[in-house]
Amino acid sequence: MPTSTEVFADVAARFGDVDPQDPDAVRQWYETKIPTLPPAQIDEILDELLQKEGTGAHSLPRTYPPAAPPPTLDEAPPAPLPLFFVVFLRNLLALLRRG
Amino acid sequence: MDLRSWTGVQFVRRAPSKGGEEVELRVSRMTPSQVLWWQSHVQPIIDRDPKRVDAGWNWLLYAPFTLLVGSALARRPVGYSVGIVVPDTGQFIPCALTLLLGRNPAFDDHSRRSTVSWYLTTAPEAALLDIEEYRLSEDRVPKLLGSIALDVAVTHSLNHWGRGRVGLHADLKGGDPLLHWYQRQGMTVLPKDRRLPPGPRRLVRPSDGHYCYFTVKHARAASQRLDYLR
Repeated sequence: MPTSTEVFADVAARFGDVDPQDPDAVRQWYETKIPTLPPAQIDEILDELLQKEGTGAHSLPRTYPPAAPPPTLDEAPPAPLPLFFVVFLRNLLALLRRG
Repeated sequence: MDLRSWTGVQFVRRAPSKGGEEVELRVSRMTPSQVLWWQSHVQPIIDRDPKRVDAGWNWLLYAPFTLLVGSALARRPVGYSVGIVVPDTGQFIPCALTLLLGRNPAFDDHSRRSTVSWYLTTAPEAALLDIEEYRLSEDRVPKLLGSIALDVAVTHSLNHWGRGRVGLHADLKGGDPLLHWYQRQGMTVLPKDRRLPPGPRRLVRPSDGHYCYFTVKHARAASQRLDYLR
């Protein structure tokens, strides 16, 4: 079950001192502040979000961004497959372990 | 031996439609422009139906983790968009989004790696028909979008050490119909008395009969069922 928007807002308030009732501030914090935090702290935040899965509600006021332009094919390259030799080595290792 | 596990598995590239014609799809790593477009065009239509499990979701909050910090985290979060390819306009119009955590202990064997599906949504038919950019008529509305979105998680798992194992928690709001849908896809429901893998979730949100997972065998079968669309 996904983590609710309310939980996202509470976590932003706790870790970032953001007003949980201000959807723009909450969004800004996730977009701009989170990437600047050390990985260990980001992990802690993710843990907090996952622990609270299924609690709360999607209670933030619903705000929709103004009509965004449609994404282009150039901006959406097909998701890459893993490199063949990586898959090959991985399977080989698994076989050796079993053998 | 499954040859595909040596070559990697392609993502789905088309979907059947009501009229029988196939619709060209592409699975792409999620980008900010896709999320922005979804939240401005599709989410308002989803939100009109409060019974939907994904009503009220805000992808502008959920996506930053995967888009900006995914590689830094031990759980390897990753986002994918499934989009309709519109060659005339050169556009990629998202019709399903999913956020995954790529490295978690499996529900059925805690020593094995699994992908967890954290968020998964598909565009409702009303959105596919009403939003001009899709350029879809009623007989060209793609089918199986839910299965295709779930297949993205299975494919990611197959390609990233998980051997197809995928776990998720079926939203309680979806009730039995949602749980049965996951079972029809080939997932197994974790019995209430089975423990979750070690971790805080085991304490905070213990097994409640709504955790579902793909075993290796059933993931492979589910993946093979969609091979004709790859």
